[in-house]
Amino acid sequence: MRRGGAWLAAALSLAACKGSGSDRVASEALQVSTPVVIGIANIDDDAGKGGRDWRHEDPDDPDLSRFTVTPGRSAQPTRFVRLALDLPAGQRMRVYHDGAMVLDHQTTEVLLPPAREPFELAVEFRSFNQEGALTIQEFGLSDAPHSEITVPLKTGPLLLSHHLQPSEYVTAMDVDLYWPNPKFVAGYEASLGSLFETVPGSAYDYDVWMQDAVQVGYQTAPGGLRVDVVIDSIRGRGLADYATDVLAGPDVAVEMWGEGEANTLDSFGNLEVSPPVEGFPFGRIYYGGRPGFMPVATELFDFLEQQEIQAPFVIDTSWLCVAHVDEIMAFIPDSSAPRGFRLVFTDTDLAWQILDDMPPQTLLSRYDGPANHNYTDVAEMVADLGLRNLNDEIQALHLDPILAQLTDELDLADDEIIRIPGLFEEACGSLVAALIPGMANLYVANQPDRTRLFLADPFVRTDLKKQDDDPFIHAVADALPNELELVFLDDWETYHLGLGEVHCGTNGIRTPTTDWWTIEGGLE
Amino acid sequence: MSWLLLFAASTMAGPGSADWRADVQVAVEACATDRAPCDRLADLTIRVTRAGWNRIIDDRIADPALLPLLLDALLREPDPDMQVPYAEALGRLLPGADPRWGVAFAEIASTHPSAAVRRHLIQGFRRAPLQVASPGLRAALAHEDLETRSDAARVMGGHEQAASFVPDLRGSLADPSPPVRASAARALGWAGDPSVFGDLTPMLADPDPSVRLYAVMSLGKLDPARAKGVVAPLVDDPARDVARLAERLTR
Repeated sequence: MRRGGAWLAAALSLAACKGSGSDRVASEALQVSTPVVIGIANIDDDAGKGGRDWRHEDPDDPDLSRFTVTPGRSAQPTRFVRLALDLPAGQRMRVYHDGAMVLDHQTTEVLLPPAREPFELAVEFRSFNQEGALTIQEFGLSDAPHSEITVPLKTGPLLLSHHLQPSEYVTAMDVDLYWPNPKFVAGYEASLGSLFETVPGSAYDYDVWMQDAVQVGYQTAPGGLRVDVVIDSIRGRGLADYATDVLAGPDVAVEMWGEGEANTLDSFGNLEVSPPVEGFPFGRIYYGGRPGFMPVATELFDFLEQQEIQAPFVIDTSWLCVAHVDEIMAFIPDSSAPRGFRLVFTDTDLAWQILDDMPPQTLLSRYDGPANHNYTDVAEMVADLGLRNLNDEIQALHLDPILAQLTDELDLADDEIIRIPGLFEEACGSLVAALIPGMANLYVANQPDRTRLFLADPFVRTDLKKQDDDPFIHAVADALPNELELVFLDDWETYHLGLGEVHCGTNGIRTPTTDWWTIEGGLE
Repeated sequence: MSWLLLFAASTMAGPGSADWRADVQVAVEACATDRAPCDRLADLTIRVTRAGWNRIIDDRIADPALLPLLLDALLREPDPDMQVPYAEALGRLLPGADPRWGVAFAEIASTHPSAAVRRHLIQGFRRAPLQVASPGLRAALAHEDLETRSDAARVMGGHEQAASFVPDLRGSLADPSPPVRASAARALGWAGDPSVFGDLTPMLADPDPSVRLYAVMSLGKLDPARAKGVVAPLVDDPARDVARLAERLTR
């Protein structure tokens, strides 16, 4: 991996500083304070005027990339300075000088009065993955510049966060009516305190699927520039306005790619990112689908694909009723793991092992009755041959191949995989959903001093208040790293019976941990 | 109908006559004297699931008095999206329902114009007593819609007395529709009757990969040792899933 000095040298070779012709008499050439001007898309609303700041052409906007130009020292007096902006077709940037916009895609050249002292230029970028160049020339008496320098201008990619990044903000819906979730919210509040905030259900039609509504990414640049980019799903439903109502504002932009009538794959429980792996220092995006059944918002997935940096791959989730990747797996931090993380993956065989070892007469009060899953006790569940056949088949035809694919795509070693028990049942025709609340459908909240996993309480026990009695909880706690704090939340009525679990009902913002421009290939 | 008769009908756990529609009507009319069941029905919580379809998530559906009212609501509901939650709830009620309602379930599962409604009721038969499940599943297996036939075959295989359906499923191996043949092949493996091994072997040459996949799966389930030799040629199957499963079985 190339860092710091090496890329600097490479960039400096791009920012060629040269004298020209007979004017090569400058004792000291024109200089700029950075070899590459790296910026962020100015798409948030620092100005508080509504919409993107880019629209307001504000030279004082905090998201501009500023750098200093130091005039050369020449035997000839400088008569004027020429700035020239070179932009590929369709790209938009602006250059500001002395409190005014001087260059954009229409005005690509400007002459400035000569400067004796260093002066500041600021560059504003409209979007992601932009590349341009600014040439600064000093002219003396001749027609040729006696000194010039060309500075590449660049914005980075839109990066999606992964589970190793620290949590800055965690949120879920507060549901006080119809299908209330007081224990779920209380569990988060007790563990996370001020890190956790609720969204009122009444404001968003009690659409509890916070994970599905938005996906939070980010863009960063030197000098502490950062914009959190909330990708607003085309999914619509109750939370359609949540991103713009609650999240949009200073340093947080809301963007939407694609249009049309969404299918379930357009929800962002179906858009996740692995931790960093070889060749992908920001992880890899994965989402569910299969040929003939893909997200409607192709613009979004094409855009993510074209960025290459988090190279997305598709997992076949078409066998699941909801068809989201978060239903079966999650990545968790683990400092003792070879690469600092492990994959938590659902395994039906483990679930049967636990159930087969349980006293058959164990009453399963949460599962009892037609409003739940119609299983009175463990005996009834283990005797259901159809259920066993179904889960054996899911393991063989779906889970095992997906795990093999993940192993291949992410170069996972066996000891990087933690299998945890889970069972499915047919929930919409032949498609399945979690029978036992899906514990791999978990939310990671990590802070420097502690990392907590929030998982669904499986309720495979008689006394609902005694989590210590639950063999599934014991199995999961034994399998997961000791350094993690596990919080098993009651998501039964509000989430589980609605075909989702803890991760589906939670969202948040994470801190970028690595500067993309310091990574090998980041500036290419 | 006298008030006394209405009251009696409303307190019955199941249909009071052979014509289940009349029994549903009796339950509906009983609300004129006791509104409680109809109020409970109207008050049931219907939610959009994460998958996007409506579902009744409410403990009160366990009340037996609601069953005929749910049937009535389903049959009266013109909006296909709102028929789904009634059908899905009835599917969940079906295993524990009074078996005398089986006639109603069988009829709706095999004649309702909505494939989604038929599907949810067929699903309910999986854990219903055989006497309730058989007529409904057999009628559905004869339906003109291939998805309904496929659903019926699939659910037959998941029934605890799946062996009872082996003759029906054998017949479905010759269905003109690949999804039905695939479901039948799969269900025969689940039924666990080793005598069907020979019926499944020709399915390995089926032109449809999903049929070959489930044939491999079922043969391996019924007799792993014998299946090894039979499925060996499929390790080179053009369908990746089929080849992978065959390879796993022959390992």
